[in-house]
Amino acid sequence: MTAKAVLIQDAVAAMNVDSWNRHAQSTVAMQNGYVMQLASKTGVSGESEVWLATVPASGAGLKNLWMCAEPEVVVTNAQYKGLDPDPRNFEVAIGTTFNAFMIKLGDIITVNAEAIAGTLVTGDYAVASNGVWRLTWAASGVSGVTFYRRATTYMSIADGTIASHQITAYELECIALA
Amino acid sequence: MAYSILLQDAVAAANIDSFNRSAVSASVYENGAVGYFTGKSTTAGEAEVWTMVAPVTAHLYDLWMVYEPEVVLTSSKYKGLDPDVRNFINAIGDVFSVYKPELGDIITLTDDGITGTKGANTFITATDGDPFLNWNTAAVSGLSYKLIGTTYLSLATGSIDTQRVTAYQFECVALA
Repeated sequence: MTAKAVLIQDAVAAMNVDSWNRHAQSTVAMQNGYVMQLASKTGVSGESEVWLATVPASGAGLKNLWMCAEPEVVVTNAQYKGLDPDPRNFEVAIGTTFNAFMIKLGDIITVNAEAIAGTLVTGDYAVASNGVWRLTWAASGVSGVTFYRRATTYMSIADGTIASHQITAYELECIALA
Repeated sequence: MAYSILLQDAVAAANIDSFNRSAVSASVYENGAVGYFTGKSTTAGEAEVWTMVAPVTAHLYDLWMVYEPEVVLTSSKYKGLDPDVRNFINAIGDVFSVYKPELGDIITLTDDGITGTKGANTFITATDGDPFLNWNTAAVSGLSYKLIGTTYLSLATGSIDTQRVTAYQFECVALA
């Protein structure tokens, strides 16, 4: 199984402000750390508070985005929850409601390599890109959501075995929204 | 006359103290109306009260929105007798509560709090000289809200019947 993105909200403003947290759905499988626009609600009966996530677009579609952050409860064999402790096996299925938070300046997050498209380049920016759900490594910031790599660090992942489970991760700080 | 009604469905100011202030104005102000501060009140005892005026073309940003508990004053002296929030307004000189709109805020407003006609418009925006937001076709370089949908408010008027009034839910999409 391809490892999925893992997100840690080290210090984000949305932890303290209710209105910067929403429920959303998407027409594609979502992973934690994916960025998105929430421009409208789903319009489905019984989902009056659920927004439809759409992929970042050029121009205004890169600004003031939201980020997926759903508890990593892995579904095994499409039916068993909680058996698999490895958060790298977690993703949000199409049509499943998930949590998203509004990214704010100064937010600090840690993500694994799978959360960022491309390869780390000099400049150390991870930015929103047209048509890409993940942040993308970049040499410079953009007129939109931009994170700066503060450090390369690690995550300790539980996979159920007795061994070292440190994986490479990146600590990022949001330095631009628009 | 029915006055504007505002519901703060999800606003950042509900969690951030500094996004809330007290204000006073030389004009009457209804809930959901907006304005900017020209300074603090110089009246004795109002050290933390700001003076508020309607937006102007050069100042459609950094606006604050009125949101005061709807305790209606009847016959200029009796409070709490009238349950109909549509009869509530902040009189000239009264100190009232205002909050700072933020991107992503969701509010519900009645038509009485919006200038113009909805028609095909899907935005309400700050407008020169008007404390009310105005129906518009698009956001402006200033406080702007996007229409999410048409809904209703259930009001208490004291009578037994349906008391739903049309309202609109908006999301704040621009501040400056």
